[in-house]
Amino acid sequence: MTNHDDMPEALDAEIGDAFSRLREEVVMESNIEGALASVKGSSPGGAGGRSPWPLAVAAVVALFAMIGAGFFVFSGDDGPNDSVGSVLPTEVPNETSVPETTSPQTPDSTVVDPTGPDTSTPGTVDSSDSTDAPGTTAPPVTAGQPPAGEPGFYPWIWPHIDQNQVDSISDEVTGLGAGNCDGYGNPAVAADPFTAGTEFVTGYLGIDDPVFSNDASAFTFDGPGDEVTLLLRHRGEGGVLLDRTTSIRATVLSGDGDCNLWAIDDVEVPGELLFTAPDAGANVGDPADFTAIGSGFEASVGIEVRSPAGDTVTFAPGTAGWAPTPFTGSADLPAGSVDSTGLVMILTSDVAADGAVGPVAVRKFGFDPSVELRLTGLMGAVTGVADNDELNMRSEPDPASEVVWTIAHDAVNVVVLDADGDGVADETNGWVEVRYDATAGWVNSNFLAVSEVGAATIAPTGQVIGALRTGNLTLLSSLAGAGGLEIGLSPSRSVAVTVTPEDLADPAAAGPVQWGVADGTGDPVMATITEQMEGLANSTGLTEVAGLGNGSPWLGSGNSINSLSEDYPGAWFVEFHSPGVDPQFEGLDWNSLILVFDDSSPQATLLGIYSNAWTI
Amino acid sequence: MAIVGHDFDGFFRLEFPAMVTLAAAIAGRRAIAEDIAQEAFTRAHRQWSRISRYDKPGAWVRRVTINLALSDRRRSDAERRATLRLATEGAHEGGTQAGDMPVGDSQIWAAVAELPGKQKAAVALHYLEDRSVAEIADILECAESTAKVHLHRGRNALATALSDRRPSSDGRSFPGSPA
Repeated sequence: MTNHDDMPEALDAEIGDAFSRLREEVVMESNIEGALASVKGSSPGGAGGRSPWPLAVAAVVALFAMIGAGFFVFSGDDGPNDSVGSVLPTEVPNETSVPETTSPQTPDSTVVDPTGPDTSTPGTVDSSDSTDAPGTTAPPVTAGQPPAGEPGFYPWIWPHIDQNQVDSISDEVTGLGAGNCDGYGNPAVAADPFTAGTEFVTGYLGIDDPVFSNDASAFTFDGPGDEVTLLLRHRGEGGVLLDRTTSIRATVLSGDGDCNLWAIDDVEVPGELLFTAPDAGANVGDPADFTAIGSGFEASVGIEVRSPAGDTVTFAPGTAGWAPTPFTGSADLPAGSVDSTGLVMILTSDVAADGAVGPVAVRKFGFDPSVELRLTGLMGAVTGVADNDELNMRSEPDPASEVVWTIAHDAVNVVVLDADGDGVADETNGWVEVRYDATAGWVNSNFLAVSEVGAATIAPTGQVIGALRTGNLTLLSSLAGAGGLEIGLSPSRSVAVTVTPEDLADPAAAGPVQWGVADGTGDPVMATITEQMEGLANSTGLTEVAGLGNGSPWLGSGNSINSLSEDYPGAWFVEFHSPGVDPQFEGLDWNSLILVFDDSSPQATLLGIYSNAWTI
Repeated sequence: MAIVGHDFDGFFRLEFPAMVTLAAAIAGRRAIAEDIAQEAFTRAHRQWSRISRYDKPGAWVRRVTINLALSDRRRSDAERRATLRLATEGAHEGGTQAGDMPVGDSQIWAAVAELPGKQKAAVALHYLEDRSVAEIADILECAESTAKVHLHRGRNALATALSDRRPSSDGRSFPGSPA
């Protein structure tokens, strides 16, 4: 039903006329042939052009086959299927149940779009486009290039693990991988090769831009001769970052306008460290570090970095460590960064117009087990607001002021300002200042449960992924602790298989293990531990923001019941999610890898690894 | 909307004006609408060998256009708000159009600009192309129920905003508008 009750016919017609006038003016003024020539001139591919991805298709098919073998086919024994509609990401109540008129402003909540404000972000909405971006499909296999589908080949990761290691920086470096025009939008994985050696990372830095940039188009070049700026860093076993991150300048030797960069020449290493790694007790929040970075972001929620010696340094909101900088990127892009021994990116969808950042997820890329990260600050959860209602965010601490945004009734990641850092929300006349959905405003404090978020340990996620990808079961075992690991092919502990430390120490001795049963046939799914870990490592391309928390909504939601929150009370979850990429699957080809951590100890312990995907 | 075989040029000529219009309606600025549409078609052209085999390449290019337009909107949020504020103030003082949108419709475009992204997209597809809820859902890649709500709430928001700003001749709000 499209409810027209609230739209007077005259007004409806008037709006329709306005759109018609717009269309008429556009049609009258459009230079279609000129635009067509421009499009065809700027696009190297297309009909009749080169077809650069024949092997990519095969790679994607292979990848999906691999995913399907491990995850699509199976459902948990107790994972009853919901209706198809249950997987849709924006389930809304029947609109007929939504009151049609504005509710009284006591409390300060009003009937608004039950789907919530437009929280979608360009990068996530544009799944169809990302389907075809170079990073989501394998580049053609050429000399020096990784075979598509080879273990370790992941969408968006650039460069490839095995083909881009160099022992030292020479003047000319060849054998680089395919680029990624959207590199900045995917630095999480672009910086994720999980291997020893030296790596080049594109996407962070742009031409003539030696500092972090939020311009997604910053990393562009037309071809040979253009100057590019890249990140360079060194990794050890398991992807542990061993050395500093340095920017280098180079000239494109071989590359094209699709951001494929095969070789660089005239490499220049300025010797400038973008970051300074913290020694025990060092103040990693030294403003000088940020001066070196060149840009930072005011964080409504700070980041605390704990050094091996146990010293803590907190980047509190408003401190000198965060240089407020107007945010110019898309709201779904990583909006801030700080270095410990590696990179820490704040992945957020909450960036206020004034540049304030409210992190909803944080990932650690340094993979240095000695550094622990915690969110600090205040976060709020909406409370006392009906399911079909939302909480008003107003421009001022005044119920008569303008409603600038609305917050979902079940939102849990409302950033609450605490300018004086006293651990108590700054309250004015019963209103607290918040950041949400890229908007700054005030909400009635009666409808916001504010709490410290200091317990939000950033678990050693990177190490887990690195261990899986490199087959380092010893490292995995050390992360899991004495209790072993619980592995589930669907997000329910009841179907999980416990892998003991002994199994991880000698996986061959354990032989084939039954991990579940095939959906539909009930046939046992047998695989060795090593095979299963490989399957888990390849289960997601990490193309989506990792969710973090115990109560955060799952990024992937399918037809198997996800009972992990109930199965692991108090645990923390990190979800790697790849949204569906192939239009023919209409979004159902998503998959997630969920890591479960016990956060009760300073060094978070890995409890389980679960996969989730649409099952048939 | 069917396309002629696998002919990109035909597809372009058929859809380009509609994409410019769609981009303008969503981004709220005609000045950048053509660039957005061109970028959408550039992406389509790069992958045309695949996209041309889709059942609905038109939906694909619409989705990309919408995403690009919304992205532009987000990037220029501060600018948009300033423009909106000026336009609104100007309108109250006798009518200043919103940005470079058609003269005379400033209040409508100002109201459209205030809609959340998905609502704006749903409203634009509804008014510009007379798309059904199912088609809107297809383009926005969401459930029909979600598309319904986007459209419903978007239209209600427009009704509310415009009734507040444009009293009818007898001085009252448009009949039937939410209080």
